Amino acid sequence: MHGRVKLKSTAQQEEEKRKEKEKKLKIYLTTRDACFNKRKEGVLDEEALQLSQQLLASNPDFATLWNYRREILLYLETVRSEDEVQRLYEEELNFLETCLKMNPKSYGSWHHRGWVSSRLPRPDWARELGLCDRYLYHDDRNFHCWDYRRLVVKMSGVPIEQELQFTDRLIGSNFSNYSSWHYRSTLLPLLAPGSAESSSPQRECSSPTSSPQMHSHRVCEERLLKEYELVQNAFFTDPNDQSAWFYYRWLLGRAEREEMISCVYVSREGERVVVAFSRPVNALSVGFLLVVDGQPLQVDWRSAHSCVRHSPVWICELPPGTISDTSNEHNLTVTWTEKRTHRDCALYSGRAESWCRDSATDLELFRSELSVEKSSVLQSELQSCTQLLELEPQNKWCLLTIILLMRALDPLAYEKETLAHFQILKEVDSMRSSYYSDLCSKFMIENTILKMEYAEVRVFSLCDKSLSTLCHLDQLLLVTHINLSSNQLLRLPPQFAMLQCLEVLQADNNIIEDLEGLRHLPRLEEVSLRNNRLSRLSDLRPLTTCPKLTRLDLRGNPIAQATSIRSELADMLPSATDLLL
Amino acid sequence: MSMEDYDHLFKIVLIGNAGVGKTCLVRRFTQGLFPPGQGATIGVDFMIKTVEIRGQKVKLQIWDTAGQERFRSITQSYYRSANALILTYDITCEDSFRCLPEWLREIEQYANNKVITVLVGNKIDLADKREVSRQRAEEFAEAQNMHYLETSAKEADNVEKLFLDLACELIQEAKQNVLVNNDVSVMPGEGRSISYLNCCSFR
Amino acid sequence: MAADLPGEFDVVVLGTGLTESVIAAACSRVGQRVLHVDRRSYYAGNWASFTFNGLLSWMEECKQGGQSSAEEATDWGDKLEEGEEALVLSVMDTSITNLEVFCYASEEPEEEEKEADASRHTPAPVQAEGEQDAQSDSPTCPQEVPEGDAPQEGQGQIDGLLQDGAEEAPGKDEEAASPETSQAREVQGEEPSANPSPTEVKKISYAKIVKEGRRFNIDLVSKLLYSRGLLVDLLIKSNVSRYAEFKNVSRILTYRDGKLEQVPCSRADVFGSKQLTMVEKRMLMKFLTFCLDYEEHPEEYLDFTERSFWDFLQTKKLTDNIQHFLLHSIAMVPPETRTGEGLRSTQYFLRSLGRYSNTPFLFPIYGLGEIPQCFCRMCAVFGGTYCLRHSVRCLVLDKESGRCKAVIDTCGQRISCSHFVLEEGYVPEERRKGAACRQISRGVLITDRSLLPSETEQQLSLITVPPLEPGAAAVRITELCSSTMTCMPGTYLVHLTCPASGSAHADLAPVVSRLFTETPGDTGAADAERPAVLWALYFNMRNATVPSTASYDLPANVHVCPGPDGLLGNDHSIRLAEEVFHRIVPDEEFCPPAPNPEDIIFEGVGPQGEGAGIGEPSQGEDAAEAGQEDDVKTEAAKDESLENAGSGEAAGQESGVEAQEAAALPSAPPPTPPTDE
Repeated sequence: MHGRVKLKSTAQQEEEKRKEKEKKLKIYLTTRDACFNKRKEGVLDEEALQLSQQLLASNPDFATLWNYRREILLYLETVRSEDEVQRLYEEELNFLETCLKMNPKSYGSWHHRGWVSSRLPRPDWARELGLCDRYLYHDDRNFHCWDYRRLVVKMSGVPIEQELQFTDRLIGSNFSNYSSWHYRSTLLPLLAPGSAESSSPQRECSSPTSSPQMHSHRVCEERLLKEYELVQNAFFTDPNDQSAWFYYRWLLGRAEREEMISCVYVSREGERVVVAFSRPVNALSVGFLLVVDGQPLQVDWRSAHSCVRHSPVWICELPPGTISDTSNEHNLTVTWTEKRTHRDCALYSGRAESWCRDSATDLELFRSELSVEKSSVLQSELQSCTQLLELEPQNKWCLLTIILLMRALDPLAYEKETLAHFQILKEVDSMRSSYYSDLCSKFMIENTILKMEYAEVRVFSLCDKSLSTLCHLDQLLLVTHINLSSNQLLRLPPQFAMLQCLEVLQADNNIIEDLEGLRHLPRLEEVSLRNNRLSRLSDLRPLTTCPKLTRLDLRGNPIAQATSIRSELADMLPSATDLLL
Repeated sequence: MSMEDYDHLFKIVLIGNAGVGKTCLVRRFTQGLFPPGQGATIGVDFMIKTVEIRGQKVKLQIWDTAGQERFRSITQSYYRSANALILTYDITCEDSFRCLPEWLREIEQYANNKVITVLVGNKIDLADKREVSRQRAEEFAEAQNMHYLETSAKEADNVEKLFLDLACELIQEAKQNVLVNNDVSVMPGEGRSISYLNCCSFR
Repeated sequence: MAADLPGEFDVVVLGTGLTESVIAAACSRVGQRVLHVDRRSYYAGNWASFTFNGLLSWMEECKQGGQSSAEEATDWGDKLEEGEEALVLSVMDTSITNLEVFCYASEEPEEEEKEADASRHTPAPVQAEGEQDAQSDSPTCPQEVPEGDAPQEGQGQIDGLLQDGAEEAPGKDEEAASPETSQAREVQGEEPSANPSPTEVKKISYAKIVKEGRRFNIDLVSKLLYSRGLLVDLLIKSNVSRYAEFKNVSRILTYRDGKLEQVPCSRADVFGSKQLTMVEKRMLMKFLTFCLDYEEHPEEYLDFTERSFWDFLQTKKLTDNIQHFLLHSIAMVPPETRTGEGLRSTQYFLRSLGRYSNTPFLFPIYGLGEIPQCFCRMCAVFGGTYCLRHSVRCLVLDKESGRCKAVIDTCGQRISCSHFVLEEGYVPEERRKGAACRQISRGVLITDRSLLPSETEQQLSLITVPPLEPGAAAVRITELCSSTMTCMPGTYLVHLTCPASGSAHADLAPVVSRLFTETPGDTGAADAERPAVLWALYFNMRNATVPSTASYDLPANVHVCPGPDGLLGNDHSIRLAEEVFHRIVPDEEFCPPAPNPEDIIFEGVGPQGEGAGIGEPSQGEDAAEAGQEDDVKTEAAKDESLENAGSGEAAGQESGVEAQEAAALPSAPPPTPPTDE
């Protein structure tokens, strides 16, 4: 038809493209070889800069070439005037900008830019900050740029308030952005640190060293309230946006417990000392000092279970005869030299055992999940979330946050509602139902520990609560009787061995098939494991390390059906005279 | 040399009466040839040539009138974002010279204030048919504050010079104006793609 | 000059409005020989944008009924052959009526300090009183005006301009119009005594406006581009977008309870909104999320299909606040609109959000009139012939087939064609079938500050004003800042649009008087916050309804394009253009992407050799370029590529389609057009 545009055929176009490509490749390879040769010969001149620039312009992640450039530039620094060096590095920055245009996420380019910026005799930080602004505006998830920005901010001393405003802008334009929220979380504590008294609870301290001071990654309350509002705006606008919820979690709780020795337990009979720490440690690599009656003792520490190298509970046997005489009173001190903290424990005459620990209450035990903000604040946060839940009854983030808030406020009072919310969570987010089960188990265990503490007993009973996992076992160091019947436990994990005082274990009606945690429990006498899934004799082997075991109930387990099981058990566990099969 | 990049990109727009050789100037410069036949090439919006000036790669995007000048019907939008204008007349055609004030009015009306304008008298290969003296044209150009150059697209006289000089001046200009305007306009096609209603949700 | 037009074309197009221009471009693109003419001296017809002085000339032209003055009908009888008859086209353009102008700016020439007719409006330092010569003065300095004598007449003889329109407009016009006009002028003489504030910023005078007249680009029709509307898609698909630049509408405002507030419509707006409570945020987001794919939740609205959108909103437990936003500013429909349409409008708005910014709209820099011109450029690039100030006098019809065989132009030349496309205004009265045409009321104000000042002066706002009283129409306002290149720095260009019930001034005056200060003498405290109107123009424009082919008694190969409609978007025009195109060339693609310049074969040239700059990788840059001001060329170009990279990234986690689109479009156009989800 008349006037039609005449176009090259596809083949023609492709051919041209291919040729073009070939040509470029050839240039590239030739240049690369030339560049490598120069480096091999140790030439550090401008031509080498030229050559490597050509290559890097098309492939900015050619790390070797950046290294070569740094070598050259460092050399040139030594032979040029400051002005010349300044110009050299400025050109380098310009060149880097073209590289970043090609690939805004080029590791090599950003890294090199950081290096150049730090070498520049007269750096122009405003320009660098502007560059970051632009790149982050276009892609607020470019973590290379975030890294570089932090460098720039640090080097140039940008006011934190200004950086906070920068995150305000980014969040304002799109709040679904972990990077910005996270950046905020690093800025706020610097800008508005919380004072010690406003953030840590007023509590009686039995000894100065045992006070669980909160770490100071905290933010003053006034600021915090503003942040709550900001983040609520986000999750009311889009309750499915997780970045806001994560930030909210961070705001609500960042109190970490002070590292300390939380409990020292002494058994006269076993001539044994058990020490519990506020967090898992490796006693073999950190310094402990055990002093008995003023005498430092050289002892071997072992963790409660040999397979756990980082353990909150460590055990040592005292040299025979150190404390075995009941008529003597002994004073022990365990010092954690690294943390300059210690705990004393007195074993009075006539007593078989003794311990010293914090009188644990809910406030300091489990609040590391959520902080110890004033409960009025938490209460109003809970109200907001409940309001949101009414609008979005299926929202898992909201449900979960409510659960956490309830725990922070009063775990026992809200226990029933918490369980109900967990039930909904498992339904609306069935993909993660196991996670919720575990989390729920954890909370139930915490509640039970609290109840036990309040009752001042050494009996732990948590039956029929759908427990799927066990945790906080270090808190059960002193428990003598435990009942975990009618749950969904699959195993008694190695950490179970931390129950060093345990005498009676009931765990009927679970699905236990692994008893690894029943190891070296010196006082364990009775074990009831009816209706579980123990099927092999070898599964029971850990029990052989429990010297006092006398009663073992295995009824309803597959293993009870095995022929000649009774005699085999008798051989394996000679002390267990009361076998129920 | 980098493989694909350029340091500057400029839009240069040609105007002037029909038949003064605008298209020929462009073709001579971009393709190095003098097209024998007449008639605009269908479908060509602009031609591109990248030149190197003092180590900088300058990409020139050269726009032709698409025949709209024939009946004095050039769209205003044609002038809008031009960095430079090449106002062309034919030295062998008095009429094309007389029309220049009219073209200048259009420029005044529609082009950016800061646009660089060059007056070009083309077809100096036809010296014997000259109707407009060099002096007249120079005086006119000076009065209007324009550069003036005489060219022959056919003989390739001054064509390179025309565009390269222009490129140099544009670079100068650009350097002075870097970062003046950060109010960038958008154009369709490059949309940012954040869905504003459901972002990152995992339903 | 136009006498040497070729005598044969495939398609002759008369009128350069948006629809005609798109048709011309589409036809030319697929190889049709197109002649595109317009009797006017400017492009775009009623879609045009004018400089201030150009607008004054246009007003003059309207006064003359749009008749092209120069050429008188030649005798074309000898051009007809046996078996042919002539169909004479209309030469009167009656689409604009009720033109009224008000000038509130000081009419003193800037450099003169002698007097203040309206004290507030003149430079403070020297203030004398009482002189009345302003009225007799010409409102402008004649030497500043390049376009004939139009401006001189512009003010003094406004009433004269009304005469053509007055016949068609409702009778009350006369009363509505003339007192106002005179009042505006009288005020200048009568109330000079208001306390002049010595600290007042220097006001912009009328002379200044005229002097800076070329900085204005005043649209006759006020429309925006929905980011996902047909026009934007077409601009992208056809590569016509490379000829224009756009700005995002930066905010959407609404008038509520006597004040203007920002409408939170995007996710970011809702997040940042200070007016909404937390619970409202959730309600609004929830409802918007539903609207985004409402078809998938029929249970939510099916019971309401026969009822109004307003009723539907009532049942959704939304607060008044939110209902207002939804109805007036997001759906932008009257309350009685059916639920289905309300939801559709809302969805359309929402789908356009976020593509380019936090609002759904784009505005072309230099005004809407650029867009038809861009399509004309495309038509020309593909060989279309252009001729302004040239028209078609009559059609040559074949008596037997009833088809249009040729046209006779205003030079009396016969030009044969297979299809003829024309702007509705040329259709002779006797060929229109019934249908009393509706009108749009338009107002154009030049003001001295923004309706809602913010930290930046450069806001491009869309403002929805709900009916001030029951039964009245909602008024749509766009306020353009100077960076849109439609008004001089220090001023704002305000466009008002509503369906007409009377004259434009009568329809719009209530809204204008609420939002702006009109009379120079009035200095209430409240007014200090309102923008002052410096100059105002009101007129009615025919509201185009999409014609069914049966609306006109015309041959089948004659296609009528109505002018602009009163809606905010442009979909009707684009849809119609595509329809007409398919009637003309049924088997061709509508505006396929323009080829890569490097793939074009030049006649008489072999494969491009070395040195042929055309062999350079060219695409990508051309797109980049079109989006910049000249003085930031390179800087902006860099930002482009950055933006592309960024958007691809952002899209990665969203729909893949989007990512491709963002990455692919500014660069080489692959044969696959962008798809809209």
